[in-house]
Amino acid sequence: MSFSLPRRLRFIRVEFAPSCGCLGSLVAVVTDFCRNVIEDADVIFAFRMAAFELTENVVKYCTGDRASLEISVNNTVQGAELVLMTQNEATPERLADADERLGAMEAAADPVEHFDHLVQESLNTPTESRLGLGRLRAEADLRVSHEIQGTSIVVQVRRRVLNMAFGDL
Amino acid sequence: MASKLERVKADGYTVEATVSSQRLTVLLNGTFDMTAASDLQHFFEGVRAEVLATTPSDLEIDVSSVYYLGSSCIKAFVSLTAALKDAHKRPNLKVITSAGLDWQDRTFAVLARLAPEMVTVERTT
Repeated sequence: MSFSLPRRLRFIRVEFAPSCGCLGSLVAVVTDFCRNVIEDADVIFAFRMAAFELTENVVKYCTGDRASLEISVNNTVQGAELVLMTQNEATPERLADADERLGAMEAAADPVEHFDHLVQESLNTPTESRLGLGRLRAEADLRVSHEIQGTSIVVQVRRRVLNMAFGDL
Repeated sequence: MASKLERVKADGYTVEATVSSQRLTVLLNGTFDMTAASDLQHFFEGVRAEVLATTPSDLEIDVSSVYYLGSSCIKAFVSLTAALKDAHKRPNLKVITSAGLDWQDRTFAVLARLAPEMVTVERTT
């Protein structure tokens, strides 16, 4: 007999109006979710960092009055993984810029070397850091991917995790 | 002795500096997300001016009580480091991290890679 395990074991999805005032609440949702499913402090901090960086990007660049965030535990053939996703609308120029920069980051073989390159670049941009997603790969060992969907961008960060504590699942 | 740098106190974080003989010490406390970036950038511009004016041999930045540092604030550290590394009398820049917060060493390692001859990252117990 064959059967397939559920892909998404647990998730929380939040729709929000982007503003600086909602950052703390969104980060708290992600952090609490992670604490409920895993005990590894490094992984919890990595996703806390990801929640800050992704939601800050949404607040900075979203052109619509709605955006969404989802944190989930997925079941893959390689095992369980935590996935954090944000989706927001942005201007065509910003989408094109993000597509190019994220594509380069995802293709970089050495995340630390690429981050150091971004740091050098940031010295020429007085108002923006553009370091947030690069540090998620370089410092937090998270995989980052993105997709442009019409006028929106979806950014996902993920990390395979061991010893999940599924609690009441 | 107090420095000319005015203490910053905001909801969630503080930044302050003290001067003793040849050392300028900066102490950060709290959570530094994007809402703190402007304050930190401004404070570090003051630190840069103070260092260039008084040429202390050591600049110590204690981040051991920082619980999060966002990329906007990392940029403030990067800008300060880049500005000082080419100074005529550059100080030794020591970043003090917490032994209990592993992420700090990973985050601040970028400064040591940016200016290895000037920056050291040291854990406090």
